[in-house]
Amino acid sequence: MNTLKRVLTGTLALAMSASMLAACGGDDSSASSTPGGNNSTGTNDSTASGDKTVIKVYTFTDETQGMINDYLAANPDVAAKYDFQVTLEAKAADYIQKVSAALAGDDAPDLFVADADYAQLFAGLEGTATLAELGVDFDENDYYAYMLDFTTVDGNRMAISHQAAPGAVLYRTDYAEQYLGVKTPEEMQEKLSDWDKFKAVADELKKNDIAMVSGIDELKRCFMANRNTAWVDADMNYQIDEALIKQYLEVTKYLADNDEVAYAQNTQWNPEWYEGMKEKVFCYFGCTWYLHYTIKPNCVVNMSGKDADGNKVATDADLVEGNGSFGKWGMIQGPMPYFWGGTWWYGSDKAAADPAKKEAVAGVIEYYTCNAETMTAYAKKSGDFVSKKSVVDAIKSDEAFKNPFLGGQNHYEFFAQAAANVNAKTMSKYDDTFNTAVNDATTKYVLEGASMDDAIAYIKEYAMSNIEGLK
Amino acid sequence: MASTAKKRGKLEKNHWGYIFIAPFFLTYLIFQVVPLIDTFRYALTDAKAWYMDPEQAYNFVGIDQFKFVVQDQFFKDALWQTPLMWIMGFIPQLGFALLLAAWFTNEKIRVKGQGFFKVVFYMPNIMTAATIGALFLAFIRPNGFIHNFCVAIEYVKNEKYPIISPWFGRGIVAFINFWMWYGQTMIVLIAGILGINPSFFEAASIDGASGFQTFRKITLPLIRPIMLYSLVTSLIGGFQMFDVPNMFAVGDTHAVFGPAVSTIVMYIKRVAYSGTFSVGRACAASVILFAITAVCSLILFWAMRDRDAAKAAKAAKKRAKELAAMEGGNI
Repeated sequence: MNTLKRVLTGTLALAMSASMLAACGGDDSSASSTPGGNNSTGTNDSTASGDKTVIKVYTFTDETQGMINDYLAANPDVAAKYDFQVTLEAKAADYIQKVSAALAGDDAPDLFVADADYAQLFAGLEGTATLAELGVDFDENDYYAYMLDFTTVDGNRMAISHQAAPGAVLYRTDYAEQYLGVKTPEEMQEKLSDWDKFKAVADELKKNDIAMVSGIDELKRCFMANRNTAWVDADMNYQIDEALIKQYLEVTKYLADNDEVAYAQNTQWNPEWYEGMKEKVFCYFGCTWYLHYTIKPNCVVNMSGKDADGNKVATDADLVEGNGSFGKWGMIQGPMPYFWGGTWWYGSDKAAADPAKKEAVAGVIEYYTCNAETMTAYAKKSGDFVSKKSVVDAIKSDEAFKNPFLGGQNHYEFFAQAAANVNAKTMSKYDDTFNTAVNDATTKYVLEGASMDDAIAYIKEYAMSNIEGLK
Repeated sequence: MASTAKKRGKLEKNHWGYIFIAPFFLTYLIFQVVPLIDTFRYALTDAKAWYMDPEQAYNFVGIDQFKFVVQDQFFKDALWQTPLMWIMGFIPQLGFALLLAAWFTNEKIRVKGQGFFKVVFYMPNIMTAATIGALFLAFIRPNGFIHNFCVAIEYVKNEKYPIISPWFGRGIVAFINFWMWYGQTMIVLIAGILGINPSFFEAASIDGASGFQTFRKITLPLIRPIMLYSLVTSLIGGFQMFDVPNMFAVGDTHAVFGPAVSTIVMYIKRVAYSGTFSVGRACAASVILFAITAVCSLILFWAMRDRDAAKAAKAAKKRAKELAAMEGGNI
C-alpha cells in the first residue's frame, strides 16, 4: 500500500516538474513567434508544412506580408514549393532585440528586414549572411551608393534596400495658393529654401490660423541627416555637430513659441500627427515611402475600410480628389536635402547554408531589388521610389506616370534628383539612442525653458549613460 | 500494520511534504537562484547582451560598473524619484484602506452592500497597469479632460501645449499606484481585523470606548503584523515600480514627462536594452536596487517589531537567569 502511494506520488511530482520544465523549454522556442502568426509555433522550422519548405520571415512593417503575397502570386512555382511565414512583426525596440536574439540562436529567421535606424546594427550581427553567400546577383553601379555603403561590413555587402528614401517637404498646394500666392512647386521651393525663409512662411501662415508643422519633432529627421559628423567615431569618442543641433533647437523653439505648430509636443506617429494631414497643417517632412504609405492613406476624411482591430482605414476607392486633402499636396526639396528610412533585406547564415532556402530567400530579394521588370511593376503599383537607378530613370521619363495624390506631379523626377544628394556617412549604429536624447533635449529646451547649453549637455549625458565606453 | 503506521506516522508525513514541495524548490533553484547569483557575477563585468556578443568575451572590471552607476545623474534621479513616487502613493493608499477597513468591519455601522463596494474598490487592481497608464495618458493628452481642465485654469499656456510639469507627472504616477492598490490593501486589512478576537471589541464597548478609541487601542495594535506585511510588500513593489511610469516616459514616441518619472527599473531596462546593451551595468544597478530594498525592509521590520512582546521576552529571559542564579546560589 505504502509503496504504491510512494510510487504514485513520485510519478506525480516528476510529471509536475517535467511539465514545468517542458513549459519553460517550449516558451523559449516559441517566444519569438507572434500569436497572430500561424501554425508553425512550436514546430521545428526545418519541418515542412505540408510538403512545402517553410521560410521564416521577421519584419517591422505590415508591408512585408503584402509584398511577399504579391511575389508568390506572380510566381506560382515558388508558391508551390515554399511556405513563407511571417512569424514576427514588431516595432523598433522590441524588434531589434528579438531579431538579434533569434539570429544568435537556433531559431533564426531565414529572411528579415530592417529600417534605417538599425540597418547598420543588423548588418554587423552574428548570423547575418552576406548577399554573395545568398547568391543575390546585382550590379553595384546601378544603385544609390549611400544605400549599399550603409550596410557594408568589412567590404561585404550584407543587405540591399528595395527603396531609396530621399526626403522631401510635402506641402499643401491649396494653402500655398490661398495664403502665400504660390502656384508652382518651383516658387514654393524658393520660399522655403532656407530656415529663415521657412520661419517667415510660418509667420505668414500663422496669421491665417494654419500651423506650419504638426509638432516639435517634425524637423528632426531633416536636421539629423545633415550632421557633418557621426555621433560616435571609430574610437568611441562622442562628437556633435553643435552648430546644426543648436539651429534645430532654435528653429523648433521659434515655431513653438509663436504658436506655429499644431501641437507643442512630439507628434510623430501619434493621432495628432495624422489629424493634421487632413487639415490645418501646412507641411510635413516626408520621404518616398512616407508619401504612399503614411500620408496618402491618412489624408482622407471618409474612410470606408476597416483594419483587423476595427479601426477605420482608407481603401483605394477613398483615395480621390475632394476627400480630405487628397490631391492638394505638392512636393519640394525644402531647406535641406535629407533621407529618412529605407527597407533593407537580409538573409541569415542559416538560410545561406540550406540550398533550398537560399534559393527562395534570394528569389524574393532579387524580385524586389534586382529585377528591373518586377521593380517597375512594384513602383507603379505602390508609388514607392525604388533603389535601382536604371528603373528610376525609365519611370522618370515615363510621361504617363503621374501621381494623383500630388495633383499630377511626377514624384520620380523629384526624388531622382534628391537621391543623388543623399549622404549617409554620418549614420552610426547608436543613432537610436541619440534620437531619444535629442527628443528629450528638445522637450527640455523648447517646453521646459532649459538653457541651450543644458540641452546640448543633456545629449552627451544621456549618451554616456546608454553607451558603455563612450568618451 | 496499523501499529507500525502509528509509530512512523509523524516522520512519514514530513517526508511526503518534502516530496510535494520539491518541484517548486527545484524550479526555483534552477530558474531563480542561479540567475540571481549570476547577477552578482555579471555586475563585476563589462558584459553585453549575449546576442550582441555571442562569444561572451567580457572582462572582469571590478567595481567600475558600480562606480559609473552611482555617479550617473540618471540613476541618481531615479534613486530619489522612485521612493518619492511610492511614498506619495502609499500614504493615501494606507490611509484610505484603513478607513474603509474600519468602516466595513464596524459592527455598529453595518455597511450595506459590502460585497459590491469591495468589488468596486478592488477593480482597478484587476486591470493591467499598462491599460490604466494608457487611460490616464488619454486624459492628459491634448483634448483629454485633465488637459482641458489645466488649460481652463491657465495652468497650461494654451491647448497646443502638453502638461509637462515634472511634479504633475510624479503626482499622476503616485495617484495611479494609490488607486490601483488601496482596494487590495483594504481587503488584506479587513482580513486582519476579522482575525481579532471579537470579545476585545465587546469588552471595549461595554467599557464605553468610542469608535475611535476602539480603533486606536485595539484594532491598530493588533493588525500591526498585517500592516507590516502590506508596508513591506508595497515597499518592495514600489522600488521595482516600472509599468505605470514607463507609460509616461516612452522616449521616442510620446515623451510627456520623460526623465521626470524615471525609476530605477526603467534605468536598468534602458541600459540593458538599448545603446550598447550593457548587461554588466544593468546588473550593477540591480544589485544596488537589491541592497536598498533589503536594507529598507530590515529597517521596517526592526521599527515595527512588537515592542511589548520583545520586552516581555527580555524580561522572561532575565527572570529565568535570576532564577537560575538563585537556584545556583541555593545549591
